[in-house]
Amino acid sequence: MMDLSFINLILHGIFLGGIFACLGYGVFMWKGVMGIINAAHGDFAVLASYICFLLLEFYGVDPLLALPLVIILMFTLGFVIQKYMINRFLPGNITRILLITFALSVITQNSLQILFTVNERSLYVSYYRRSITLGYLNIPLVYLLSFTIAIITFIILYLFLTRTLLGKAMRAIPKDIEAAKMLGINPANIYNYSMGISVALAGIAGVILGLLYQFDPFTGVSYMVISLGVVIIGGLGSIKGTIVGGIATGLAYVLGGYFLGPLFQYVVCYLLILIALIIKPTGLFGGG
Amino acid sequence: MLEINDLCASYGELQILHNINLKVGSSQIVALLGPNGAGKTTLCKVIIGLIPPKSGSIVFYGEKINNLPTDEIIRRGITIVPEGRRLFGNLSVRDNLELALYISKAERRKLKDRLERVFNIFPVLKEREKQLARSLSGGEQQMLAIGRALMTNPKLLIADELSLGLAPKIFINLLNLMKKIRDEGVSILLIDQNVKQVLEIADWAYVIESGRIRMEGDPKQLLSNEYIWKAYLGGL
Repeated sequence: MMDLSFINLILHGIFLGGIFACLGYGVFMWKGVMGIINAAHGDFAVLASYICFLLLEFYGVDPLLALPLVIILMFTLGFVIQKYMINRFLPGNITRILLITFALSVITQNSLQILFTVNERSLYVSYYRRSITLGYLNIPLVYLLSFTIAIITFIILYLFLTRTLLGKAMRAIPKDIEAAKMLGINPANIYNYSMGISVALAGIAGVILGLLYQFDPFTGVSYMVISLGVVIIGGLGSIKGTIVGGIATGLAYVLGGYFLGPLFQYVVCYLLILIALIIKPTGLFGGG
Repeated sequence: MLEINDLCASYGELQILHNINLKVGSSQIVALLGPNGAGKTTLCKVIIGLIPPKSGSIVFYGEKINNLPTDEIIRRGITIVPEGRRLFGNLSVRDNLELALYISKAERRKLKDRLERVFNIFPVLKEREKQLARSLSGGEQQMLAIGRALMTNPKLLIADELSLGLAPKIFINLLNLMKKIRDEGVSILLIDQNVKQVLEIADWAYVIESGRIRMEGDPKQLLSNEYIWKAYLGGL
């Protein structure tokens, strides 16, 4: 019989993977829809963690209850950045856009450092140590809640992209932008919503990651690499692939930590991303 | 309904269209014929608002439409079936049709009626409604491209190189459908290299060469014109 602690570990990896996937959905929105790189993606996730930290510390608001407010704030931030900074360089000027987002990344990191110092923070909630026992399995409540939020996010995003006209336009534009223009669709308008949703998704990921792990102003760099890895493994352009990519990365993170020690968690993750890039550059669900 | 007067357009320094004059009347099929590189597709893009004209005017139902954004031009009643169909292969047949209504909330309320009209003209699209556009045959994809252009209930349909990649028999079937669409009150600007088939169904025709209108006239007369025979019909 398989060791129960190992099954718990796998479950832990899958749960974490669902949360990592949440970071990856946002990448789909900027790389998949607009073909640009948002270097501040991870930092926006950390910004959301700090917003929740403030609300929790000063007003006692549970991070999960603060989630709708975080989503609205982050959506607005993304929409404004796209409309007033990035759209003026689209289409074409990818290097300048990369520089803009790098600048946003540095500004976010340093502002958080000035406001909160470099000390690690956490979203410590009253139910942090509670867990649910299912048969022989023991599942920490925060993991279950975070994973549930990640899955609900996936379902809503999937329905949005496949059932709404705006979502369909987001999938159509990267395939043939001129054809979309011939239908009277204004790509800049679609991009505003795309970036708004992307930053909101980073915000959701930031809140649920903040519930599980400590964060500091520079944690966004690790989030950024994980989010890129998730889409590289899953395949850019496939939202379903992002879930699989997320779970693969989550398992690598947890198993790497278990077998080789916590220092190796990210090393194993990045090795997996490198191997995926070499063996199947288009990702598991790529090319469609 | 459409009047193009002394229209000039260029890509950067390179002038493509020189003093184009062209008219399309109500419920007419007007053919625009010419070889590759003559400026046919550029003219389409100028009419639909994707390339700004350098000079001249485009008047639609008495109002100047040059420099209006594409969505406004579509709302006023002009749509295009682009060269090479330009469908979204990763979306279903229905999604491709629905996207044509993205430009207006008011139009979206008419989705059911519009779909029904398109499915009446092209019943095969109803059967393939949920299939991905890329899984359709060439002829079916062209039907979808025409259907998509009809979704906004246009007064003028610009069809750019319908024959591209299609077997002659399928192309002739499509031309017959274009006649049916014209008879329903939609004017059509038919742009193609298949001179004979297009002239047989057109009500008026223009020949464009090197960005200039070389000749215009009644299609039957053009069919017996010596230059047309030599240049476009193999001189047989």
